Amino acid sequence: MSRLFTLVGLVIVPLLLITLVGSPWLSGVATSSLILMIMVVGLHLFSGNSGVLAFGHVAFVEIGAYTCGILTIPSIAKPAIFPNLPYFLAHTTIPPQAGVLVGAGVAAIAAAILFFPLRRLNAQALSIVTLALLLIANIFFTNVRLSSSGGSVFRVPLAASLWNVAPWLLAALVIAFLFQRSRIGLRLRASREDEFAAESGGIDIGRTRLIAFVVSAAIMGVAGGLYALSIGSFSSADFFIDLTILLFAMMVVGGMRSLSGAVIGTAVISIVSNFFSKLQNGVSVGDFAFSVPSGTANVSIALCMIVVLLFRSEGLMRDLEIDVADLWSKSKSN
Amino acid sequence: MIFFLQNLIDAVSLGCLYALFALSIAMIFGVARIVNFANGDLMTVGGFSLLLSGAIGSVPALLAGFAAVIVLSLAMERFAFRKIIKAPMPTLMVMSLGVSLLIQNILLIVFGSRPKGILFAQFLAEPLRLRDFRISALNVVTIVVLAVMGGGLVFVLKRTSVGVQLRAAAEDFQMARLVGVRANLVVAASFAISAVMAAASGMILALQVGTASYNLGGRAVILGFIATVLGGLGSIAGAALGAFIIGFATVMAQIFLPEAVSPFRDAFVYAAVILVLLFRPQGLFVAFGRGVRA
Repeated sequence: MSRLFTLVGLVIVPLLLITLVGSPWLSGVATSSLILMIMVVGLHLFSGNSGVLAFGHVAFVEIGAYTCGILTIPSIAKPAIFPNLPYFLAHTTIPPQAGVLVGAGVAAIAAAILFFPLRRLNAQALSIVTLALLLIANIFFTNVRLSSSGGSVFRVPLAASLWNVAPWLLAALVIAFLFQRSRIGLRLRASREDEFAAESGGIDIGRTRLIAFVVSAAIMGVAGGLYALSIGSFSSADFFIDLTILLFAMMVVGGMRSLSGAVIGTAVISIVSNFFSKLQNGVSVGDFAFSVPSGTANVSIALCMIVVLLFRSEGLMRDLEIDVADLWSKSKSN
Repeated sequence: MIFFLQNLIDAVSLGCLYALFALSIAMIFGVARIVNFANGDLMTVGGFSLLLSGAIGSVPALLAGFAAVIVLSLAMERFAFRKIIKAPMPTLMVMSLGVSLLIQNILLIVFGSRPKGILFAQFLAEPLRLRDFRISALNVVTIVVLAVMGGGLVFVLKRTSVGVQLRAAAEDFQMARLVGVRANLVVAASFAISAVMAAASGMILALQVGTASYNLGGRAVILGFIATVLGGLGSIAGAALGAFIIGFATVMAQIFLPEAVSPFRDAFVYAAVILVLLFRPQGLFVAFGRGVRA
């Protein structure tokens, strides 16, 4: 239990500090980092526990974002934005937080339907097939004639502030924490270590992966809804390879098999990439203004990934979880 | 009849291009078990090399392109992968994502985000005419390139010492090492051969669109992966065949799908691939039960 409290503290304490500082830029950056952290926790829940890299998870973020976006845009604005919506959708508007929940539900249902037939594939083939799913989702949302401008969505109410997002993140952390030690989580981890041995031990790997996939897709859906509410307008291009690589960078730098790793990796990469993004947009020191070319932030992310993988290939946290109780007892024994 | 033949040639040439992508991917996967996302960026570098043709002439530009891509690929093997070659496959996959992100953004910093127009061998854009029959010269070139590269690959794999070692390593890496195959050598060789295919793919891609941009190879590499899975992971010929089928199916879908859904063409093709995998999870061209225990 103390591990869970440590994790919560790891998130809450910096948030309190950021709130105290009160810089709008900082809290904006922190909000988007929290949303990314939800995605990384969702990705970790499936990929970290199963060892199967899911390249298509961003598609569930996309489903969550579109669902939440379409449901929460004020119905007065809808006919102008979405002339083609069915009557029911065009005349309902639900509160933002409910939209997030419905988005998560739709993402989970989609995940269940999509993954059910895929559960027989082996780990490697499954990874690549999820990549195909990502492409399919991208093609679908790019070309679907939703709004007056193809597949983009705008005028979503901006209802995601730092402290609106935080409870969702904490919920995701609790779910991921409990999942890790649940019977299904343990089975999944056994299959990660050795597919063949786990199967001979009577574990139905397909079914176990299916459950994890659906739960993690729901978390991705939550993140998608919050993304929609935080940014207001978006299109299918936001949920593609770039975001996928960013999430993997965050997960892997922290340590793919550790939940604390997901939190720490996201924090590290967010800090590094936001620092360089700020430089990309230009800063002035005294009278001297300078900027670095765009792409520098991504180079920094890439270097973080490569350096960590080369020198600590299991990530900063390996498969350990941070725990204040351990730290406490260690310091006492010294 | 002419309509049919022209589309057939389109289909064959797209199939050949995809087969080239897949060979490049499968070469490394077969030997080193690395799903290498950075191969797409090698293609991009190959595409950019054609920009040199104005300065140093066409043939030197081609040679420089191949050389640059091979050197880059070997550097990638040496500095990014060699140290962690024994790590589990997901780690290697993620490393390749990192390398890909790095190369792509360095290209972005150097060349900017706007696509650069390519003035290379412009006659390739002209169609070849034979009475009523018109085909694009680039399509013919694509088919010839695949034939040459495929033939060269078969020759190297069957007739040279390195090729025999490569095949042995692809069959069973541990066993091959035990009988004296040098691990680093075969892995590096697979990266070099893969780079040749990647460079050729990138150049053809760049000629097709007429421009080079920093994300030129992004989708091609994914297509190569999907084709490799369809063909059967670990089977090099299977990957090429799988890719050929996907390319062929794409052109057929283009012709036969109703216009309303034609923007979704590729989605249908990928969905069909997934459907096939449901019935043959091990891929089309791999004998059942050859699962590899890591």
